[in-house]
Amino acid sequence: MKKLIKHLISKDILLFLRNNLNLRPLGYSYLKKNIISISDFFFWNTQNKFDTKINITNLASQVLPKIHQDCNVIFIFFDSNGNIIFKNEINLKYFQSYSFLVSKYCPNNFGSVAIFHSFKNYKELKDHGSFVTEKGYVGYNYDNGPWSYVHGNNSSLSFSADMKIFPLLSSTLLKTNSYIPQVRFDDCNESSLIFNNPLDKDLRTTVNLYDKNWVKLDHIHEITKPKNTKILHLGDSKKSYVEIKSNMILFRPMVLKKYQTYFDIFHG
Amino acid sequence: MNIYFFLDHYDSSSSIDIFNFPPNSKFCKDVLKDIYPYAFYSNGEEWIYFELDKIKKNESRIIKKNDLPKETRNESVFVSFSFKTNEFNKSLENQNYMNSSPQWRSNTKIFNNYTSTSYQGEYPASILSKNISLVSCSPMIQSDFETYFYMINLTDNPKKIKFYVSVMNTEFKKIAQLQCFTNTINIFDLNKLDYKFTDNFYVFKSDKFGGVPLYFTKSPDKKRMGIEHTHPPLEYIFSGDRSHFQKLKKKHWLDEKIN
Repeated sequence: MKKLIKHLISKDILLFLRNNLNLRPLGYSYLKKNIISISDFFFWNTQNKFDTKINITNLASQVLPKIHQDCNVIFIFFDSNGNIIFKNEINLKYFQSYSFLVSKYCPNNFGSVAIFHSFKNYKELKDHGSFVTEKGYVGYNYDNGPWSYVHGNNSSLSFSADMKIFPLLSSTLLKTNSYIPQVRFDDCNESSLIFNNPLDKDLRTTVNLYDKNWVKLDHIHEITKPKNTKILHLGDSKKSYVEIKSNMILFRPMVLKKYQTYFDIFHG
Repeated sequence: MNIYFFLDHYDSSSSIDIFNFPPNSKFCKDVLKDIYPYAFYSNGEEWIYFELDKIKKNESRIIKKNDLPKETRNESVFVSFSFKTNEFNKSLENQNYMNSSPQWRSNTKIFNNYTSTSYQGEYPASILSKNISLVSCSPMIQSDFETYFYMINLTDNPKKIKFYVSVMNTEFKKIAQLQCFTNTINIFDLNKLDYKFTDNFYVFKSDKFGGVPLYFTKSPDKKRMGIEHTHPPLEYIFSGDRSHFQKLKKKHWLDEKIN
């Protein structure tokens, strides 16, 4: 009977029901056919003396080191409004790595970038039901200071052999997903959350700010359109905790804190 | 249960933000309880420990290393937990708590009067008794600034055992060998090595012991800083048998003959 029901109901409908009824929810959607590569959705910022450095390496060599093969890498840069503003494609030799400054191609702007790898011999990955996923590292600096590196945290987008991009993270109809970054916010006056939306639908969020006794100080409602990026300033209230309620199950924004002489940035 | 640690640095301070609640309650089945944190270190023979103030459920605590007892100042200090007062577990045995996705983390920070840098980290108690190795591929060495490599190791045996981390370029040429100890916050000033780091990335590896590799950079006036860890090799893989590919990568770097 169970098998019959499973045949009658598609995987996507089952996932929708699981996630919206909170019955063993899944953070990721089922992969589409012909997927060859996965990427995080990396924040970049080149405005107001900030810069971003992207470091990548031949992922084929990293996961299949016995096979000497080139890796083709595609970068797709979105601006903060979700428009594709720059695309680039490079070839990396066996174990070759590559880094570049985003300001060279996308100056005075901010947004998010997806990075997809593809290579000829991926049979062993396929046999184990696996895919390569780009997890960074991405460095941020201000006024030529040291790079503050952040690794990727959420595999967010998938890329198919016919060059299509699909969202990988799953969502719910209502803002029933709560996330509290495990960091205290009371050590600096200026802090922000960086939202980017890899989904094909609006990311709807409510950010609740609390003091150290969990007394609610303020709340901020925000809608982030698909592929858009927002730097959400949290104001100057004496907040200790931040709770984000959203319609994305595994939504985890980056945290940006400003101190007297420099900044701190990390994944929440 | 996770274990946390302080990142000692000669001209700055360190702290950890500890939370007694998960980041995402939807993916955590633990029933929240009050916890008793313990700061502890190894004197080479046994664990020396100090009970800290209770953290009630749904509360958090910022613990600064400078606020710990004076005898911990020059020691590599870790923090674990118990559910009862005066019940430090000398075997560091894992409590069935802090099971969540995403991981139940601490904000681990280096700070001074000017600025602060941190990362969301933990030392999983599940690896304390395992024979783990290290392969850390890092693009984070910045020779224009002061760059430090931290190798955090903790085992369930309080003895401090010597081991070595080799630093290599991608052509398997060994650049340096760093002497580390278990149960220690090992720190190395990479600028003091007789080598100019110019490649895009380097490999830090050890076949005897592993842990958490961290790369810390700061300007000489300590007004600008950054820190991050490298992720384990299986993070390059999405879904399926991820550990198979981690083994392939580790075998490649650990078995290869070093020039």
